[in-house]
Amino acid sequence: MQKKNKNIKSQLSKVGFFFLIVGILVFISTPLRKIKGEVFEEMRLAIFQQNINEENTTINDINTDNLQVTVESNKEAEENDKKTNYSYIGELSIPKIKLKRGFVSKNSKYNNIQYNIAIAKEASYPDKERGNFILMAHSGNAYISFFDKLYRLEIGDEATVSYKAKKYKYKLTKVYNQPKTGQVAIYRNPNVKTLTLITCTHNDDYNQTIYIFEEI
Amino acid sequence: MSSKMSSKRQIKRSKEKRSQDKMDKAMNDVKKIGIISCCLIAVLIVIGIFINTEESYAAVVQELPEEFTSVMDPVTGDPEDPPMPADYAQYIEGVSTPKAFYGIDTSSSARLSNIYCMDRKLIMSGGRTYKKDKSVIDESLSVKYPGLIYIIEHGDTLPDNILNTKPSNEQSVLIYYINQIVVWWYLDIVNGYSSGPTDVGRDVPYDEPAAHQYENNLTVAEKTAIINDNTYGPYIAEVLTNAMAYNPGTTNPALDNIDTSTITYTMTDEYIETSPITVTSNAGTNFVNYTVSTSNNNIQILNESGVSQTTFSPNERFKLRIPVSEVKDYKINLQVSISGNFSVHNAYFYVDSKRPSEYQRALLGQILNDTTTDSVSLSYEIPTGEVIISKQNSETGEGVSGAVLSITDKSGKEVYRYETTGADIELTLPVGTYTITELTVPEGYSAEVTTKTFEITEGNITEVVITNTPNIEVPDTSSNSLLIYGIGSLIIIAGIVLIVVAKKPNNAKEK
Repeated sequence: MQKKNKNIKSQLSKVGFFFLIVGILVFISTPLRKIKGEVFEEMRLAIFQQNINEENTTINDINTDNLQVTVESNKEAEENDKKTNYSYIGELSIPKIKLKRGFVSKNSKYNNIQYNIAIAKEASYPDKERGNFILMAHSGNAYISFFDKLYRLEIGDEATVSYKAKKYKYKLTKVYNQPKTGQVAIYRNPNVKTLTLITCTHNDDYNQTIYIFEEI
Repeated sequence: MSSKMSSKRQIKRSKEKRSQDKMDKAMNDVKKIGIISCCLIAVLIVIGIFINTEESYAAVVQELPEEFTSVMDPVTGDPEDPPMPADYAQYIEGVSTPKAFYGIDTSSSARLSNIYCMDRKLIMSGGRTYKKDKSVIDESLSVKYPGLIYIIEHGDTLPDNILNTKPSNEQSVLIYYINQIVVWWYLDIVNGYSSGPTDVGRDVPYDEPAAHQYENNLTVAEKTAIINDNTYGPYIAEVLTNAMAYNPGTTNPALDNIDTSTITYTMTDEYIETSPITVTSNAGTNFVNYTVSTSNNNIQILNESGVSQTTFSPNERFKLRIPVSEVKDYKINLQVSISGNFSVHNAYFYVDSKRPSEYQRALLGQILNDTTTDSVSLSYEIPTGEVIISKQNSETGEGVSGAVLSITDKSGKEVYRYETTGADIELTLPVGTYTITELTVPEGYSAEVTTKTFEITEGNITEVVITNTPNIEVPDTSSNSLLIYGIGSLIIIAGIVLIVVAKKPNNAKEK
């Protein structure tokens, strides 16, 4: 009888440990994925910068110190590119909230907020005069919440978009909310080039916030 | 038989009785008629007594005759008889005038009014035909006599304290006496023989044969006697002073032109109102009043207080209030008629029709009520301006259709509403401030601003651009990992519980 009890307890203990491990893995899956995303993001940004450097002499401020431009590195970059399945065509940088994310082409299947900061289909690229470059992303506490810190921005904060080897600097001029209806109206000055960021309102499930930057 | 007889008698008696009754009734009626008639006659007599007072022969008449016949008391019964010497009155010692001298209508012989002699050195007589000559203030006269108009106009009576110095049957004589003296002395003043009612002046001999041997109408002695007379002297002096200062005003009264450029207009939602309009004339105090009229009954004529009024005294101003409904193409055109009422004071010389150099001139006065009408044209054009309203896509600048816009004026009244077609619209609106409101936003668009205020200024074009922003589709950008953390936490807790249960010693069994 004692033996039997001992066996049951032993099995319970094993099951308990198993649950504990599984629970810990589940618990840390989100941060792990976030870290993985950041690593891959660094890789993609490096590849993006590398591509620019090969085509232009303009050096952007992406940290390429540890990235030696060698034939082997190129191969490695290409392999990484394949692993990452897509490459960036530009980068958004907001120093105040330490945001640095690349974006893919509008036509890419990875131009989707489940993967990246996404370009709206009505947007025009940063090089268009008086155009509006519109980017959208999640906010919240998921690993894909790239715009989770946008709520910390204030009027006058700056953002930079790198695109086609050029840097476009913007200053935040307008912030407003609109209800979540699946559509949003962007009230901007049509006579200047603007950058618009759209995400859910911080701690609000019913509204979304629009941040409008004007080129400086 | 006897019954037959008696019935016949009864019938006869009843017939006679009926006849007698009728007769009595008729006599009673006649008596009644007679009494009523006598009463009526008595009433008429009494009324006649009160009405038929002594005639007053004013020197002022409404309409002056072209000629009249002079009459001087005493009048002979037969017009063919030579005139008798006039009766004279002498209420001031040493100063005498005829008791009466008046005119009668040549055709009807009706008595006109007293007439006053102008030239004492010449003959005055009844039975003379006088014809109308010049006004005493005629432009052609080298010396004019405006004071005669004053004397004539105030010569109908005398103050009670003067009049009551004589019994009632002499009062008309006294009136004539006093006024004739005033006329003569006034003429002496104007002709330079005296300087005023306190100056006895001088005697200038008239050498021709005449009843009065001086050029001046009143002699020094007569003037002295008048000044020294305590009863009538002061009154005569007062009248002379007033006559010397008198200004009869124009004999051709007319309204002055109204300067319409000084008229301003105030516009409300219901009417347009003019500023007060002043009416003046060249007639001075002889301007009695004026009447304003228009042919448009919708237009109100008001006094300055905004109360309806059509006849105004000369110092009153009037306003016009025109309903907005009378405005056509932002313009109003009015014709306003102003009739001025004036009193015209004048007096005329009458001269002997046959021998004017031998007989005295006579004087008759006249006060006319003259009316002159003037017409004033008022026109007002409501100042307007134009506005071009453009409804545009804020991104592309292209026209947007399907928006419903409403334009209201500053009072909130809607003046225009329309649905956009994508093309600009151009409107003409009165000067002022307006608000344009987007009542309906087209499908697929949003409007950051749904109202806009603009100003219309006269003769200018205002451009107003209302934009709509096209909506873009966005995915749901909220994300939450709380579920995963929750599941993970539950699994961890379950594992811990199982481990704790497994480690728990079996104390009961060991005992």
